[in-house]
Amino acid sequence: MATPGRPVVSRRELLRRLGIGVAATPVWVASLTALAEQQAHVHPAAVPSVPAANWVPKALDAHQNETVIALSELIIPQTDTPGAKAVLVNRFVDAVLDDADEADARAFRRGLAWIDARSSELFGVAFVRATPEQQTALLTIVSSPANRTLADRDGVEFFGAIKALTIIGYYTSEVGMREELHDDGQIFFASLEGCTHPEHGGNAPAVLPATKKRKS
Amino acid sequence: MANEVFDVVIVGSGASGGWAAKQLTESGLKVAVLEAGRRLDPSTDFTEHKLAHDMPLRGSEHPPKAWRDEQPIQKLCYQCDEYAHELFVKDTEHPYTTAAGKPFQWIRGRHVGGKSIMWARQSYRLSDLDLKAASRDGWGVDWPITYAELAPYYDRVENFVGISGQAENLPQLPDSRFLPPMELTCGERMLQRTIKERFPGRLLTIGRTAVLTKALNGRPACHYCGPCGRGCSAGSYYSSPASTLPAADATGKLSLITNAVVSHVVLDDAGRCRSVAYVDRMTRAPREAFGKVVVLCASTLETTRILLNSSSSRAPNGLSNSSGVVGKYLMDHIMGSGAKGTLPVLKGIPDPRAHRPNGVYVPRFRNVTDPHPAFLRGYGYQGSAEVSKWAHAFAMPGFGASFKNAVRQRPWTIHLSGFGESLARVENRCEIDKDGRDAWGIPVLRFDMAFGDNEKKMIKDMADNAEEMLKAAGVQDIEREEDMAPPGLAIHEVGTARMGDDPKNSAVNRWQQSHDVRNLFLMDGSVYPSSACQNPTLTIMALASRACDYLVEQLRTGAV
Ligand SMILES: Cc1cc2nc3c(=O)[nH]c(=O)nc-3n(C[C@H](O)[C@H](O)[C@H](O)COP(=O)(O)OP(=O)(O)OC[C@H]3O[C@@H](n4cnc5c(N)ncnc54)[C@H](O)[C@@H]3O)c2cc1C
Ligand code: SF4
Repeated sequence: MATPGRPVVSRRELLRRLGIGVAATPVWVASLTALAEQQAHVHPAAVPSVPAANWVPKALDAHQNETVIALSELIIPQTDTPGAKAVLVNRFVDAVLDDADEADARAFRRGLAWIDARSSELFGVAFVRATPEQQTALLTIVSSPANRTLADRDGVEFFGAIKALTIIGYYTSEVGMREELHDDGQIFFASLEGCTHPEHGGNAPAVLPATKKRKS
Repeated sequence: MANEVFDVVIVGSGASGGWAAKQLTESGLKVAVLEAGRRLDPSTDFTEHKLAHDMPLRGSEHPPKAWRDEQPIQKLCYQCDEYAHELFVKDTEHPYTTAAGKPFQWIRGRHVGGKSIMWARQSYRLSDLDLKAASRDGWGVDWPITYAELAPYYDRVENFVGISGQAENLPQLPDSRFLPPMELTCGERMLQRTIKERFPGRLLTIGRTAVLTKALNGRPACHYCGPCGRGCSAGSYYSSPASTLPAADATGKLSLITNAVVSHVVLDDAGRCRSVAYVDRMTRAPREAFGKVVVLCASTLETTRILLNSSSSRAPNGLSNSSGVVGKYLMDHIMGSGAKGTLPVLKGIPDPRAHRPNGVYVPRFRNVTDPHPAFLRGYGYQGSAEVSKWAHAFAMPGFGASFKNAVRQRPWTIHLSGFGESLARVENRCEIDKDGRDAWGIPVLRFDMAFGDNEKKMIKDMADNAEEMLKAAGVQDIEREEDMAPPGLAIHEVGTARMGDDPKNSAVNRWQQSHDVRNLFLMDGSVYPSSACQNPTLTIMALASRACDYLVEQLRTGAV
């Protein structure tokens, strides 16, 4: 993760510190210089990639997809940063299910069905058509393992699965990474910082004597 | 090239084969390297610069389904994930068998560079405490060489490969020729200070790693992108294709023959190695490479398999096996035990570690001075302290805005995990399974291995002491981990063709030359007489360097 306040290094300085062009060229790939250049230019204002407009789910049907969208947004909603729906966590969930072993995918679909069944029982409608208050009430039941009554056991299990997938899908998304985690995706660092707090036993930051001039 | 006779034919182009190729070609010898796999292309095969959202499954810890089904064993390795799984073999093509109820998890990579592409780069010297352990505690056999004999070769390897670390002047863990050390994080500093003040005889130091903190020999310094195990396009950590193989190539004396799946070594009428027989990986055509000397660097277990598959009327038990030790005394490090927790006192302090491709190390402190009452030998801890990015969210209750907000409080986490010595035992072994064939028709190995009582006691001690040290450092929410991974998974397998002075109980001499066949050398971890607890690769390369010096001299004087 890029630490806020990390000094910005010019491309030339970066290449110099990496030893490129100083200690001969890298033995393996010439592409390193190009990569460093790309980083220097692209970072930090990278353009987020545009999601495909014509996407259709592969493992979920349309209703299941809507349910996943609703559940994921309830788990990580839009606040001062975008929520799970905006970063398309549902597409990630669909990809995972498409790749999953059949038994796992089946269990997940059973869980989606369970949510609808319980919603109908409690509110008389499928989960996506329940009010936000009703949806929250249902998730409150299944999100507390303490409430593990026999009737809700499958729901508790399913909630664990959809919550874990939402967490992964959200925080690994481009928006989640940049806006929520404040990670600009930088992969080139000219140096590595360490602990600078004497109270932890670290070294105080080195202060260069002001008089020391660069020799040229 | 049809019947060209090379001075030396090396089998394997990984960490050890790369080193042997460099040193032997630089000595003026004409060398062929036979490598079962293909050349990797960093621009398409390496994924270290990919971010999670570049991957369809966001960097899942397992391979995608099509590969997952072909990699039931490989996928158990932490590095065989969505990004890097193609660097690991398909188990379906490279099968092996195990004794009932005794799992062995054999992790492999078959391409130019071998496991030096995916390795975790931790690099520690052995000392006489390790090499002469048998003399101290009576278990097993000593190494036939001393630390003083090996030290100049460590120097040589380190000066070329580049090992970053901090000198500590410990007798049990000699210092390398270090490049500048990487920095410790706040949590690691706290633990370091606690250990120093409260645990006499112990210390915490930055990991010693084959990653360049300064440009070296034309290779650029690390740029701290982080996930090295997926390959390094910059060549900033030691892998043979980034350093030793190009050096060998530059001599003009190297023929690197890829897709050459070696089945066995062929002897001439006088009982000397004549050639190495291999199968073309793509066409399956049988081929032969002729050499005055054969050097096996196929990695411990593949080298052992080649020896055992090279049995003949002259060597019915397998090549270089008149002693009967080949395949026996299989060792791997024990792991799976330690402790972890959080450091609430560091709340809010940012993690300066960023993408440091390295952890910390607590060197062995058991049986260094005083004998431990419960077990022989010792272990070291690898670990780290860092700020959790978001994985802590899994354990947090609830959902919704309050949940999302709570995840923003990112805890400092810290862990210590032990890596311990396993004892050489004759019954821990591999042999040829006559009923099994790999995709190229070559007979496969069958493993019969289990850790014993000494290892079990050590595992408990690892968890106890990790817990105690973390507790002393103020770590909260401590979770003990007291598991023992099945053998193989530490990927530090060694010992199945051990070296020694006595031809009756060792396969090769102190120069790693076969006792039985003078123009055959083994230069990988197969020659280890005992496993020590340090990660093996640096020592494997130093040993290879020493053996290469001897081999060159033998060829010069016409002795082989
Ligand atoms: C994920 C991971 C983490 C690791 N971490 C560390 C660490 O931190 N520190 C450490 O010291 N070690 C570590 N290791 C172990 C390290 O990678 C090995 O010790 C080292 O690579 C051994 O070198 P080698 O030359 O013997 O084998 P390899 O590097 O595996 O090379 C063997 C080569 O031989 C080839 N070969 C095999 N069979 C044949 C055949 N029949 N014909 C032709 N060619 C053949 C293979 O394709 C391969 O290229 C790790 C390994 C892995 C996978
Ligand atoms: S060695 Fe450095 S540059 Fe190379 S992959 Fe590792 S962190 Fe990245």
